[in-house]
Amino acid sequence: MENQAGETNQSLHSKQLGRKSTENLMADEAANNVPPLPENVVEMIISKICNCNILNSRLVCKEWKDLVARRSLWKLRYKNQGVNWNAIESFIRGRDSANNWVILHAQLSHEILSKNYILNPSGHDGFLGWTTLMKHFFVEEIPRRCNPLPDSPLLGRVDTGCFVASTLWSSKSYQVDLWEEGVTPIVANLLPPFQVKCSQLVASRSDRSAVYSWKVQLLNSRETVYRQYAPSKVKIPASGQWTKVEYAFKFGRDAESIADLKDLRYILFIHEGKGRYDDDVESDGPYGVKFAHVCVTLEGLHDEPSLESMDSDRPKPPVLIREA
Amino acid sequence: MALVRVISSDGAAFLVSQRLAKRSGKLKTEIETFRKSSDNSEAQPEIRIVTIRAEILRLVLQWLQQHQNDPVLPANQNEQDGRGDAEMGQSQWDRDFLAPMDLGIVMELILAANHLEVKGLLDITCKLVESKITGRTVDEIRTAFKLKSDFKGNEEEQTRLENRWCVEN
Repeated sequence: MENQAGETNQSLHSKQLGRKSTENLMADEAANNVPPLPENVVEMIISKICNCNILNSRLVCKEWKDLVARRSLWKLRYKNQGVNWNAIESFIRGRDSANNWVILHAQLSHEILSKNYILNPSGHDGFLGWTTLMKHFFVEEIPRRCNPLPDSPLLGRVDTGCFVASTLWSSKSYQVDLWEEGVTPIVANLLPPFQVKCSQLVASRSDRSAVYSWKVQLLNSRETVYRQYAPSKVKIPASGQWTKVEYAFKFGRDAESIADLKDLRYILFIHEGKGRYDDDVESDGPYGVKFAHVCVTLEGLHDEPSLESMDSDRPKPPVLIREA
Repeated sequence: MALVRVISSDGAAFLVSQRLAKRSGKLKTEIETFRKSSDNSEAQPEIRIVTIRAEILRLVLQWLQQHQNDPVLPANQNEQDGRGDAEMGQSQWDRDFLAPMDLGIVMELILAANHLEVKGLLDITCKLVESKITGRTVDEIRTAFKLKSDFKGNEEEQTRLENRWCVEN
């Protein structure tokens, strides 16, 4: 028996101890006659509750539920967790204040507005997260026969490597599940006006021209594409220069945007290409187009985008791109 | 050394240095008020704290004594440059200090720290309560805080749904 009790005391998170302390909670209640805590103290306690338990506090009573909706509580929580408050504050300014806490919560637990949704943007983790659709891609830790990557960090990451296609058409994709990343429909619905910004760096080798194309698709939960950006193929001369290409899906507060967001679940990022083939190299060697700093972010927009600037590619039917 | 008499609600008097007492925002104000209203600058201030009993006041003073050389934290908890929990390490002394207390005492200590404006003590006691309620069911939290659900109709169920939508589809 003694031994068992000793074990219980040591395993702080064991169920048994949980039970025991619960009884203590009850006993404490019976033994003491403490006046209720003032609101600022309750706020302070709730501000310390971890991200995975905070939602539960909304169920305790109306006062607690109201506290969790309060900006001041979240400001404390951000401070407690050492997370930048100013950036998110400028995002929520002027938005539906009653539900801002939903965004504040999603940002604190999932960094929805300050992360790159592509976790392996330049191949530092091999092909983790990427699906090869057509052979062959390589990873170069230091890109060969081209300029080094700009050393500006991409959302805190400094990548020096890149993906390289072969001289045969190579294609791969990265699928982001927004629901898993904290952008559930209730969150997405509160984000407009905002944009899904997609970008990457592209380069050819200095001794070889290249061809590439890319597309980004928005898919619903049945994995059906309902909106996409698919520019036509681009030829790049042998230069070794990195170029940034980018595109943003904009979501305003109009009915169409809101309807689109209701469906939004996946973002599929596809890039593909090759390099010029010569007899002197192996066709499936790393001589093709290079990609790096692949990036998908969500960013707030503050001015309601005008209709013209809203996603000008939208009316076009989906373009299927095939290797010629 | 200038002293101050701090008297608890149940009449116990604690004689402490003014330097130490002034680490409590409330006592600091009280001492200054006493100074201004007293003709004799040598007079020993006497401060009555009608909401805090001796056992709790002793704990607060004990904590202040231990932490008398810490930098004073801003009383305003929303202060932008104040240190957050992330940087606030809790000392072993604090852990030993809090360990024997039951939740009732901790709650009283929180009220005292709040009333006397002792930010550091308020921080660690709130953190302790948080750790005691973390992972608890909603009913257990209500019990600990002596709260009753005051949701009407299906409001609680609705809130539960909203919570689910925040993390699921």
